[in-house]
Amino acid sequence: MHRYETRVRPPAPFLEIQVIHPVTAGTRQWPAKLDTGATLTILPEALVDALVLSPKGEATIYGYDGMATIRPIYYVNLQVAGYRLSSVRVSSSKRPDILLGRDVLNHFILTLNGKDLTFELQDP
Amino acid sequence: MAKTVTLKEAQAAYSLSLHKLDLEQAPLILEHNGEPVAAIISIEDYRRLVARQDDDAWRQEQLQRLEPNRAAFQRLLPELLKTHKGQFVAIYKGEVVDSDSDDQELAKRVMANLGDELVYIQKVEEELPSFEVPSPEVVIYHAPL
Repeated sequence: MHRYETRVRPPAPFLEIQVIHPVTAGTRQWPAKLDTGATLTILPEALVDALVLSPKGEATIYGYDGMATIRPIYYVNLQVAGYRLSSVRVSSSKRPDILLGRDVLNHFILTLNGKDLTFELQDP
Repeated sequence: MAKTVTLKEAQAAYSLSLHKLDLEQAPLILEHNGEPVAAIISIEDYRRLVARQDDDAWRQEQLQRLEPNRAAFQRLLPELLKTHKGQFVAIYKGEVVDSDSDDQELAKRVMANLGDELVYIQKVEEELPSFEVPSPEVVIYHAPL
């Protein structure tokens, strides 16, 4: 059972996850917001810089306003709620936290309890 | 609606009354000789603008690193559409070095073989793959976590 992060308004489900460089194994722990609206996981640019990730591709990313931006694609390993996912395709944006998209969340059983401000993320 | 202040002489000293709330609604345009020469915007709009510019510069620098493998992909695309359509290919030093129907498996293999060399991995399609990320992309006011 995890608690919502209440320092953001309105409170949101956040998890500390580990992002691992697939070649150097350099690792950073970073807060990640569970974002069921995102089809792809997004890393903060500061995290990409900290891990010295090399771009491996590009994709068109549509934002909330429908605006399209071409953004770089990276591949990273993730450690989420005790589970390791390898070679996950991600992109980046200038934001302080990770957006954990459905590409990652769909590996889990996610139960949100907004009234109680708690959530569970389990591997089936 | 933006307000306009006309500057009669560019070098003259002016006294402007700036109201934070007004600037949050619309910029104040400064005009000289009938031409808009500057805009005064709210500090929030300015920070948003700087954040957007930083993001654009960072993104362009990252995308630039994909060259020349990206250009090679574009050059090879007509032929790849005949031989690898729907597959992911890895381009290294201007040539296809591997392919797979699963880009994550391909990336894993490529990085096992080539380490962190600059490789361009892309799906062989006429258009770039697209994703939706409806959360605002540029967030500058955020509680530190």
